[in-house]
Amino acid sequence: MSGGGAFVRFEQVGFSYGDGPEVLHDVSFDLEPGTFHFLTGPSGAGKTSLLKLLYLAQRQTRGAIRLFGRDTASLSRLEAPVVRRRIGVVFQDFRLLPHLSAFDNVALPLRVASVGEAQIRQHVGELLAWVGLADALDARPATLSGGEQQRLAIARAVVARPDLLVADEPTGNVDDHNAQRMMRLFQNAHHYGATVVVATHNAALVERYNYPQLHLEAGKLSILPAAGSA
Amino acid sequence: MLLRRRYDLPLDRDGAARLVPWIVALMSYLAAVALAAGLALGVLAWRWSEGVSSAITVLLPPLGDGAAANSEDPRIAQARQALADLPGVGAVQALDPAQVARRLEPWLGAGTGVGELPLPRLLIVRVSGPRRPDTAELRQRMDRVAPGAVVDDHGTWRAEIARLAMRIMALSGFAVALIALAGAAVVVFAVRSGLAIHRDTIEVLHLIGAHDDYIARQFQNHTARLAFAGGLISLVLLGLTEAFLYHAALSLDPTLMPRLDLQPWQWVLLGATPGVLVFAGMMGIAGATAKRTVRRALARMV
Ligand SMILES: Nc1ncnc2c1ncn2[C@@H]1O[C@H](COP(=O)(O)OP(=O)(O)O)[C@@H](O)[C@H]1O
Ligand SMILES: [Mg+2]
Repeated sequence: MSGGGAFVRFEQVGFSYGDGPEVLHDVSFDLEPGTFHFLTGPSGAGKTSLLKLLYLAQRQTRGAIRLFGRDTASLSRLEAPVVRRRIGVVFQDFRLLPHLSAFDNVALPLRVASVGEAQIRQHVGELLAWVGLADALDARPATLSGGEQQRLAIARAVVARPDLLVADEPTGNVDDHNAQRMMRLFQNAHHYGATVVVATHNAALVERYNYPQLHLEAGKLSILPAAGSA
Repeated sequence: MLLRRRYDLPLDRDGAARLVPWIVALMSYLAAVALAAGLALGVLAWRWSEGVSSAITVLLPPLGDGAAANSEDPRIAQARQALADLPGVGAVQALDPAQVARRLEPWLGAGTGVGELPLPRLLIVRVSGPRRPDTAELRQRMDRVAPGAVVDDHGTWRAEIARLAMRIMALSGFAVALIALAGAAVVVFAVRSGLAIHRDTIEVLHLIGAHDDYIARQFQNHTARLAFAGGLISLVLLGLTEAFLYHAALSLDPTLMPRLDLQPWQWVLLGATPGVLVFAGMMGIAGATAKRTVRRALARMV
């Protein structure tokens, strides 16, 4: 392991929920900027837990995590949001705000960062068109199909042009067609410079795309080379 | 676009929040009434003591049997003369026994034969000029005219009234402080319940990169709106109460009670001042309490 300016670096990270058993053991890896990884492993292996550490929803119980050159343990309450704005997250269950329109959901990351309304209208409009929801600006999430909700969640995750894009089982409950469409969106974001991590236990998806894997088994991480052929 | 109210947190739909304006209205109303009552009693006491201190009463003892009916009491002219060159003395009004009897009537009751009692002669000495007459000197001169004359400059009475007024004001201040505390408690409760209900949304906002400030502001603005609505309701209630009291006061027996004798605009001022003070105070308390509660809670979250 080298240099302190790592883009993403986990060093001997251990994690447990409260007083519970440790669910991640000595996890170490580096992510270089501009890479695309799958995070694989069976259900309960710790994929969601690892991503939560990555997007600062939880703190590791031991070891060190560096994000964009900063040790996350040293982030103050005022600094953490600024780091979080560089990370786009597609949550496992999307976590769209049900009382807000599609437009306002996607606008949220820009609003919390105090971006002007004119710019917000432009960016959000573009993003919704990009994910194929240009006609659903005013729709509440509940009125959208599963695939549409998922694309809305992706639009929200990328609208602020994050350096790191993280998705937790985004293909979980959508059909194959929608899964491929979604992968194209991630590839698109990757193409524009985002570093991407997609957690999935969908073996077919991993097979189809040629990306290396961070593989978890019972809280232990190994790094597998690209499995796919594409 | 500016007029459109958009909250990332649907705070408007919380059951507890819906009650807040009404509770704030009730509390503001009670606080304003307590404040207005304190103010009114204070003004009343002040006027009263002013009225009392603008005159000194002199009681000349009754002359004895048969003399009561005779209003040509020679001591009155002598008393007038003795007072003429005393600095601070203005007009001297002499009440005849019939007038004295009429003044006593409200306390003793009509038709009780007050007129047949041996009544003292009453002199009302108006105080004029910047300095009050020397009471000791006045007492000496009256004693010379009529031994046993009683001179009352109402000094103790004035002090009593002043003390009473202070106590009433302190009591109303205490009541207002208690109500303010209860108001703060309601806001804490409403904000905490809002935080609990929207915990999940708040977490999403945090994870998306919202500062605590951004989230706290929504609670603060929302609480301010609720308190504002409550304040408006309380002002309406206060106006109605005042109109009612104004009419009630007009029908009071003026001889039995010291009167407020306020002009309509003074009534409006009397009601509006506590109303506005309480309104501003409640807004301030609600804002500060919401801010503090929300910030402390957020600091413990993700
Ligand atoms: N909030 C939680 N509290 C306690 N234990 C949890 C919590 N979330 C997950 N776990 C446990 O942590 C382990 C890893 O879970 P998770 O990270 O969700 O795995 P995956 O996403 O790979 O299915 C599991 O044993 C799970 O029971
Ligand atoms: Mg999971």
